[in-house]
Amino acid sequence: MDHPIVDGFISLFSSGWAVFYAILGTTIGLLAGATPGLTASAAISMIIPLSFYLEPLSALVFVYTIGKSASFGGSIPAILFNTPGTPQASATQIEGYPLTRQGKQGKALKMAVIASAAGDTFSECLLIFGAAFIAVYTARMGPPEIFAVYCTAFVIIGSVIGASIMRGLISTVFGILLSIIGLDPISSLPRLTFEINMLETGIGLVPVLLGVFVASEVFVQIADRGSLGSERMMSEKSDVPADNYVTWSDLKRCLPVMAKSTGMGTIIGMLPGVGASAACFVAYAEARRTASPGDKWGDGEVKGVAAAEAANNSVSGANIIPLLTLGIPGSVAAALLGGVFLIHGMHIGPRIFVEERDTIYGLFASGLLCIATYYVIGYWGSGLIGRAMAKLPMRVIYPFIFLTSIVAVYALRNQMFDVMMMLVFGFVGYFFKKFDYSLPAFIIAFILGPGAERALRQALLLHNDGPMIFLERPLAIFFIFLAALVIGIRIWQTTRTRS
Amino acid sequence: MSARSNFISSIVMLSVTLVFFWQIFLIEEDPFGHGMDPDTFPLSVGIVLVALCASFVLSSFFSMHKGKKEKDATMPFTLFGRLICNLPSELHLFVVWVIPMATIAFLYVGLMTLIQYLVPSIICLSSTLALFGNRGTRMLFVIPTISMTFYYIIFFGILRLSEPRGLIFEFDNYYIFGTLRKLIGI
Repeated sequence: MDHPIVDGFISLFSSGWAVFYAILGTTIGLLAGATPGLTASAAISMIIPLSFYLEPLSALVFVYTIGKSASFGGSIPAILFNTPGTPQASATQIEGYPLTRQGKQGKALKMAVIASAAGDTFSECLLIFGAAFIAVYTARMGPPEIFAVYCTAFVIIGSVIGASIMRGLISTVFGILLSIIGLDPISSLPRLTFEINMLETGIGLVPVLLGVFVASEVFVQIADRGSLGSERMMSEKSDVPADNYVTWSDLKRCLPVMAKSTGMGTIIGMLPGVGASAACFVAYAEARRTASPGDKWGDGEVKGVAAAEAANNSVSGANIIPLLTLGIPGSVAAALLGGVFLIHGMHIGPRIFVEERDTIYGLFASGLLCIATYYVIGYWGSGLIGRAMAKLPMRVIYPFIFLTSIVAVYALRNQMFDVMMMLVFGFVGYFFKKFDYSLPAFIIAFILGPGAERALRQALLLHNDGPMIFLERPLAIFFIFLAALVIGIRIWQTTRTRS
Repeated sequence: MSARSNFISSIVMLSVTLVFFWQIFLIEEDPFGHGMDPDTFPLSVGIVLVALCASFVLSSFFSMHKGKKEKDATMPFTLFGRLICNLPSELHLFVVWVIPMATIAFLYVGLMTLIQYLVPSIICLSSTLALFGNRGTRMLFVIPTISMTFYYIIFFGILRLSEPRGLIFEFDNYYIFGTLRKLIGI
């Protein structure tokens, strides 16, 4: 077999550290996902400062595996305690928790891990075998098309994530505006720096990430102290052996639902910004719509767990495709991975498959290793993780998370200014959460902003027609039309729902 | 979100945007004229953001006046047992819990610049644990002291993070950590 993935496995296994970080990342991701309030983004944000000290493949593998396994980890508290560990596990709890109340938590957890691994493996294979193929076409795109793609991504991210189009768009454009702060990349003139010298290098990604994902979560938790002290109760296991594992007949019933949900999750995952939270609800709703007679939807239907988990995990591989082929991340975790690529001097885009072939396929190989690892841990150990989570005193954990994030942000450049920025962005994140603005849209736009400006400048420098250049390129017109179509559909949907 | 919350948040967003918008006009012109001016992109983004925020302010203002006027639930804000004022519940949470938490964090930063890392970390962790509702000597003294000393050894001793200079007190940990690093062979 002469496929680059073979070289990827060789590249991964020739570095013992990369394998170690893949397994460590998977375990951290599982635990972070299983801790309500601590999202994959927060865990990755705390790990990014450490990634500066690692070799590129280890750093990428570490961040990638945390994001992947956290998606499954979120389903553990969703099934056991009716509290999703991550937003994408929200659909899992609808059928998962009623199963727990019937004493069938073993069946629900095992079905969740089987469906997660199946969906994730399909998505990873699509990434391995399809991404380079797509990259061949995207490599032919020039700056006008790339800028049009950025604009489409901004519109989709802004209007699709979250409940309100207006708040989503404001979050997106605000993210772009803050990404401009610093020296102009061509003339080196300061922009939006408020005459603060430290801002001339721009606002660092890590203080922003730790601020909006970690500090703001600590602020939210302190404001919501009532839920911190409450201990979670584990339900009693059923005495019937078949209730504690997935039977062959369960699997046969769930296979068609898993296949359909995986397909849906993969397609949704490839759209920038839409993400796993949307995928799990779309797949769950579709599985419920096509229910067979005798199904117990709402009262603990194992097919519902399979649908939601297959969909939300099949997003994690697919949302790397737009990142690597267009430079546009499909989710916050992908955006953070993009940040690690930049930290290690690798330019994301279609040429990465040629320039960093071994690293990229080593990363893909680590994805498969991650799936195998979380399958093993999840199948036999999720009950144990659940019991640990039930005893975890959140009111002790959050102060430690807060302190660790302060040390992490300081460790980056040994600058107290970064700590101050983290706290400022903690307030921004708190404000966004309290008033329902979109943090994912803000972060993705913050990361993509400089790329969009670069593409616009290149497009205008290369052609003498000014902005008219965008109307001379058919592909650019297509993407602008797509953006208009998406926002039109969203406005129509919102008005219809209101009326 | 209620129309009132939307209105408040949109006003805040518009105010912040206007501050940045004013900064856009302070961007200097490129004397060498490298294609697009440095302020073109920020200006375009700024105009879009001001337009979005302004339309959000207007729409939330009108929907606030259209809907029924509901009196917000308020909570008494007391200081040393004396009633200061009644605050809307969300603002009450912010004032009573979030501001003290942020104050601890800012004090921590300030103290670190004065007396370096270790002591402020213990004080800060202890205060944060107390704010989160933990009580007792073990929680507020023993755990912070042991854990922060452990952090100190890991980050500053082994991982060689450079400690901020203390303006009042400066502890030279070179010999202690140098010996430790030699002992474990790094």
